[in-house]
Amino acid sequence: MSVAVLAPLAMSLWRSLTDPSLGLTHYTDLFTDGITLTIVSRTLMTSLIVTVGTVVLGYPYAYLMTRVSTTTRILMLTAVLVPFWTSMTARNFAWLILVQRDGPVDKMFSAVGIDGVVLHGTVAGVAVAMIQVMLPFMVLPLYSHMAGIDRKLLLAAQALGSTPIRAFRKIFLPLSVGGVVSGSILVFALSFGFYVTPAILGSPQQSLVAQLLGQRTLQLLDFAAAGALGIVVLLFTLALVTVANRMGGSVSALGASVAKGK
Amino acid sequence: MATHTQNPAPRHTEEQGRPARRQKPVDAVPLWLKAVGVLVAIYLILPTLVVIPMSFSAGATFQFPPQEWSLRWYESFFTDERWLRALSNSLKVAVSVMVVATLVGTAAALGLSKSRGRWAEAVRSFLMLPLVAPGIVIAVVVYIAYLNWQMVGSFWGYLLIHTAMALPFVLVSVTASLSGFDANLLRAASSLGANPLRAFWRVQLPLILPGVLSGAVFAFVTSLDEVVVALFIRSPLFETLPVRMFNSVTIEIDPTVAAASSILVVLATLFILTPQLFRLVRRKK
Amino acid sequence: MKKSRTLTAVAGLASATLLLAACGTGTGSGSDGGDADGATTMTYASYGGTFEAGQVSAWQEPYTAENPGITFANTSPSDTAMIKAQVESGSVQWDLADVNPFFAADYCGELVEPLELPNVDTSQFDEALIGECYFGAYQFALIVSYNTDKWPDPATAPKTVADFFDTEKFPGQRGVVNDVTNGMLEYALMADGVTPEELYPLDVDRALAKWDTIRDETTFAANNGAMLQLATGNQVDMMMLVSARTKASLDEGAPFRPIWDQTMVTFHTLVVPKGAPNKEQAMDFIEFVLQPEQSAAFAEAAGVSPTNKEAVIELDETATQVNAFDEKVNTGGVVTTDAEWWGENVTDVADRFNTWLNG
Repeated sequence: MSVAVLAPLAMSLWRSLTDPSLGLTHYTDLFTDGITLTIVSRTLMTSLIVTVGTVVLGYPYAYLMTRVSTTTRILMLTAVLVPFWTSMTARNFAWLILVQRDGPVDKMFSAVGIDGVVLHGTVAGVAVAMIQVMLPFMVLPLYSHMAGIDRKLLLAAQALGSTPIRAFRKIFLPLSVGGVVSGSILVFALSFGFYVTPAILGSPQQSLVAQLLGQRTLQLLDFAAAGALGIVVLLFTLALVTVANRMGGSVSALGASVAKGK
Repeated sequence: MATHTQNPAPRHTEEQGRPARRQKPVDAVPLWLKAVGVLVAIYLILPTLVVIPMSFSAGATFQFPPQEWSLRWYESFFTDERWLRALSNSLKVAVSVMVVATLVGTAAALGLSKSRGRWAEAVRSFLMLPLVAPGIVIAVVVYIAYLNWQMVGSFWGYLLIHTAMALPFVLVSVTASLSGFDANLLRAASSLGANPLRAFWRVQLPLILPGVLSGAVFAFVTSLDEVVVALFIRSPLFETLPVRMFNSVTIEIDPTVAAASSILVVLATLFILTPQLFRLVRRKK
Repeated sequence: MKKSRTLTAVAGLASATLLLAACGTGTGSGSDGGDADGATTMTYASYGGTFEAGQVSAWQEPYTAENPGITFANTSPSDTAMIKAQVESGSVQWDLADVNPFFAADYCGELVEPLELPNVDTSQFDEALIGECYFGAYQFALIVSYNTDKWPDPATAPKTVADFFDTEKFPGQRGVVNDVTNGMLEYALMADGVTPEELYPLDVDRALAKWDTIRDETTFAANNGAMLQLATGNQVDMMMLVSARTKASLDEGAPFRPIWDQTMVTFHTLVVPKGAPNKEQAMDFIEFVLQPEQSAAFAEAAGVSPTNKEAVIELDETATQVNAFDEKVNTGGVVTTDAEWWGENVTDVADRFNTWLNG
């Protein structure tokens, strides 16, 4: 079955190296054509913003999940999983409605005196929607990591005279860093090659690498160059995911927690 | 998580049926943290909350909240042949993918659970590849290959690639349920005279069935919701619902997309909740 | 016992769905579209929305009425790259595509079939509309219009193409479709002081430099439908949009009024991709739509202008408002795109434009 993916990949790899003649020109072109690098760095920046956003929102949320009653925890987990079963297209459509001119977000800002917050067609709009899309991929590994931290350590620290905040900072935070790092790498990798959100909420003059890849394939029909870019994006993503795996935030673990549907 | 036994960090994730150990609080949860939790939860479900009221709007533009209410977009969905055909294409593909991916994925999980070593690891990694590879890369290379293979816009083309993309979910969830399975049970069964097939059918399968079923559900939902590859390999004669939706958002102004979105949400929710209900009912008995 | 019943049920469901899937493939893989009783489905590529609906009601439905058994499968957008991909991979699915004539001229015989239309009376058409691989099916303008909510008083509203590019005098969000062939470069040059007579050969760099000045205030829509969506959603204050879609936005109640300075007009053609499955039938269809009745019917439905001089049209109010060919409406001038120049340069200019846009 995986031949369905491997054979096309191999074909594209072959074409990117041999069409029209044997060599690495399509790969060196990525660095010299002027656009690819601009778009790649814009994409890296966006992925970074999305990653930081998911950590900022996901960390307190996952922490809270370890501290509440079972019923609340199930409710919180459900909120994380709702995006998984809301169709990707539908969710981005919803974001389009939310961030357009005169949409709820624009109106909300106007109400407090800030006019013209139109995120549609901007990298900021793409980021706001993508953080929501990626948040479950941060919360789930973080939660599974934090649930493994023995809170007796904090109790002990407190018994020894630490304030709760100091106990948290000195003990819980360092222990949870592994989860943050692996979750971040995962989110970063997934964001880097994300297509749907930029395609619906972004704009052609601020396109991201996935749009460039789509455009090279569908509009310019430059299959060899598209293949080269695709292979680079794939290798970059796989390298990041492998690192995340090594650090313990295994992708399969994530798949399992999702697949369990709870 | 069962697939990465080498993980050093001890984990306590909740297992089905075992209530979580309540940890003694060190300190009270501060109010601001609770507030953040509520806000993040709202942020997570916000799009879902927007889509459903949108589908009952009476207006022809994407204005939220809707000024007036009506069922016109549902009417438009269920009377427009193109939307209905897209829905039926999506269901045909998703159901077939569910069947094929579940059979293949379960077999692969069983096979891989018995074999250790580099070779098995490599096969597993290849099977997991579609889960981590960016959708756009799969879309581009598959589209280029399908052009050569004359498979663009064919049912079998969708079935093949969606099955490959759904397989990791089946593999993971069956493997997870296998990890709780005691192989001695099979040996016991065969020592009592059951042939291997019968032993599998009567002893192993019932025990891993929850894993198989949730894998099947995720295979179905993965295919039903898949848009990036579908967007590239579509043809005018065979379009799936997410593609039709994507085009209504980006090319046409057709608020029918809101109705379609709500229908997809309800469909997926039903499919995901059914096994849970099934489990609940069984437990009650 | 209970468990084995569940299993039987699952197995039953599985085999039922496999059967269902097997039945379902008939519609999926039938790319040739023909079947036993002579019924043919022609695949038609257009641009979606009310525009496509106009072609369905004015062209396809009457054609099916005259030729029972011939139906249409519509797809959009009619992206010329898709034609190239289909022809080069040898899996042509489209029978007919609505495209600009420059593409047709550039790839005549290579990607599109030379037209064979013996039954068309060419004396009913302007010569400029006819080439070996194209035959103007309808004419349209790229209308520059402004939002009357933003500028309610016509006296102080934008009046010239130059005003579109002047964000100091007229601050606000601009919108344009990133289709370079419709006249957006010509507008930029005229706003920069080039007279209509001196436009060609186009100074592409100068035109793009002019667009650079308002790039940050401009939404580049991926296609006409998306631009229409931006207009009806009140997302832009000034826009350049083809006449048919400008009419559609007015029909939806969008508050836009055309600026009649110099207006770019051009035309589109139907083409038959090389190796199309139903080539003869497609040629017959093109002959059909070039008749005066069909030419008029589509113009009335969509808000474009007929190419057939015998066509008698009666436009509704919104179609009249955007009719650049009506001297009572259009108080400015009309500039026709230079098909010859564009035919030679379209690929190169499109590439440069894309590079500029992405950068």
